[in-house]
Amino acid sequence: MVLTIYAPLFASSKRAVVTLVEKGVEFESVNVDLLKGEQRQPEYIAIQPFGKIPVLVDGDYKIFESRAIMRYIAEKYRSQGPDLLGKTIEERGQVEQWLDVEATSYHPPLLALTLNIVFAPLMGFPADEKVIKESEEKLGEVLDVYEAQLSKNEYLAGDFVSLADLAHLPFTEYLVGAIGKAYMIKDRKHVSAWWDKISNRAAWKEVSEKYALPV
Amino acid sequence: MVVKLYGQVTAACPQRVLLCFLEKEIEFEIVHVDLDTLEQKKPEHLLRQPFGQVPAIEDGDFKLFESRAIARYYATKYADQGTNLLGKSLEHRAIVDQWADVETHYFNVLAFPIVLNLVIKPRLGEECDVVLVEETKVKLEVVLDIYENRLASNRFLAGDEFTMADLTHMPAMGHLMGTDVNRMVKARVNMNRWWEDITARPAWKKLMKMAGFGLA
Repeated sequence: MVLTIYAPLFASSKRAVVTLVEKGVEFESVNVDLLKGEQRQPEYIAIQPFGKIPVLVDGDYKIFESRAIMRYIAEKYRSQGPDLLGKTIEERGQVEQWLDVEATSYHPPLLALTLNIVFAPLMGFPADEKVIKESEEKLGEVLDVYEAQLSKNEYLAGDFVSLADLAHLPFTEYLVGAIGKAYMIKDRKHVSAWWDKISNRAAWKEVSEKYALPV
Repeated sequence: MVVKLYGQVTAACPQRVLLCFLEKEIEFEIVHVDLDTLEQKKPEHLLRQPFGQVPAIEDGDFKLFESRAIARYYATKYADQGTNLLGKSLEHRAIVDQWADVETHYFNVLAFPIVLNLVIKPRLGEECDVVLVEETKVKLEVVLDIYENRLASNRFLAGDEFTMADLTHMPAMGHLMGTDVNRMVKARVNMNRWWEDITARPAWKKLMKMAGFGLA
């Protein structure tokens, strides 16, 4: 039976989708249109009670939360494709650390920028300029820490690409694209080099092209 | 050599790690970093945690920050000792991860501003944002309904057993229960049952004693 991932056109799902592609796992996808509020329909709530995306369905098994899905795929398909979890428990610890940094420090301000700059005009709600300014400041502070880390290591968790790096791809693509703040990445030498490396990986190029959101 | 935890024993994120140590029967040493005087923002601590937050650990040469990553690391490293916090199979582990991530993305984002305004700001002599607290409580009610539904058919968040998914909620819940949010939990039969169950655990009681909270 083939895995099914829901809402592949949206950024949070792409964390899971890029992991599937990196690991060479076959899967199908089902579109869920967030712009039309399809995630709030009863059929969707039945599989994701918070009405958020993505969900991965594997036969009778269901799992939501994009980073939990990433971990699941990376573990289940450990022996194929790149090892995205590190080779030792200590390396895994570093992967978990930077995955959590992405979730708790990088994602929130970047999500605020995405919602206010990209989706506000599409969905007809007013952009909050104060939130935009504060979010850009906060994100800048986080990126300064990344700049220091990436001057010592090729990738976030060490000298190997991991789930921690991949988790950054979808929303950072908004940052350098539709949000119009590519300078936040480009002006930081090591962050910029890291971004070029990870965003040019074959898996990400495939995902970003195949599942582009038509906006 | 014993692992050193840098943090404040009354703060939620260090408590997450301490609770994991206690459940797994891992020896540790606490090195106090004083949040009331913003010691976490000083250069010495920034070397351990570049974002200026607590906790961070040092275990010989191995260093780590982010409380949930630390807890996962120790739960993995000491899988065969103390409480099994990570499930019995890959699929079960992923469900544990799912509900642990739910804590980060749905629960903590609401719990944190409430605790910040009702508990932390008064202590630092700062003004509480009453409007934000009331708005956040409304959102929290919606999320707690989902938890209530989940706990109606599962004893713990990830199934029949206590796991990291439950543990990771406990520190912030502990702080919330000291505010009038406790009414929201007590009004929900299954959440109340779950909270009483998990706070009866010896590790939690030890943690509360260490943090000087008496019995929770």
